[in-house]
Amino acid sequence: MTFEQVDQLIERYYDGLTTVEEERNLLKFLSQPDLPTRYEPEQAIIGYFKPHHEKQHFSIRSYMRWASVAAVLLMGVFSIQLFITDAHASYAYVDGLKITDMNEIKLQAMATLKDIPSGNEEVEAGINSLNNKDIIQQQLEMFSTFE
Amino acid sequence: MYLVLILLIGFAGIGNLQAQDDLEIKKAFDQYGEKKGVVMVELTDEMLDGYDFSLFKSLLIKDNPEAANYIRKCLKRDEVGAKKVKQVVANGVPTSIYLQLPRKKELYRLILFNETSNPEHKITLIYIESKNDSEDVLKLILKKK
Repeated sequence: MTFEQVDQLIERYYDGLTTVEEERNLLKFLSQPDLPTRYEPEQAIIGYFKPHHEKQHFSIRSYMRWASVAAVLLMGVFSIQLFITDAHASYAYVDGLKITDMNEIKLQAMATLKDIPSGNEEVEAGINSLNNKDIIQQQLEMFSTFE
Repeated sequence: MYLVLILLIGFAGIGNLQAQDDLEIKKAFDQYGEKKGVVMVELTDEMLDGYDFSLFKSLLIKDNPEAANYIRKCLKRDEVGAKKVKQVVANGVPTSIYLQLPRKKELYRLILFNETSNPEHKITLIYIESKNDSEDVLKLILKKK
């Protein structure tokens, strides 16, 4: 655009006769650097109405929301990791005291397994558990049926 | 959306619950495990003298007949749906109970309970999870004695 054309546009602008397209062209012209000083007032006036890029407003609320979600996620992951680690750890308690030495734990486990009786032992234990007095009583009752 | 995220984390945690958490005997372990006169063992994914257990949990309680009654009550509930492999009754009271529980995913599960009074009162409760067939596991345990 020539300076003459711009001057005409500026006059039309002040008269309220410019179209949107003309205003856009005028704004584009006035946005250039190193313009003659006579255009400074128009730069100030028309530049005032220039659409500004919307400033990105930093919203602390939105930040807090995402920060809290991130914190919960982290806590959840951390807790699950802790739980998994604890669930898979071997241990023993003897008289209420925790043991973590693997050899000791295995010894205790083997000792417990030895307490499980095998088939023959069960039968013997069953017989031995009978009260001797009961056996005598049963045998006497058998004879008492005879008349 | 935040609620969905939190719920997802929660469900992930729930998914990690152990196979024995549905059993009544868990209460026995919780109640007596850390008491005096008691030995409690938990072995996870460890080779134990040739046994290949995913989980071995045992309770050894001395001089506590009440604990024996409590465990028997727990076993009464846990034996529902289970196969009673062996039971020994003395004076009308079960002193040995071996249960083969329904499988949980790929794991076979066993409960072994034994109570002796001679020479001292002793209760043994064992819970086993294994990828091997529980009958094979039981035969191995009884054979190794």
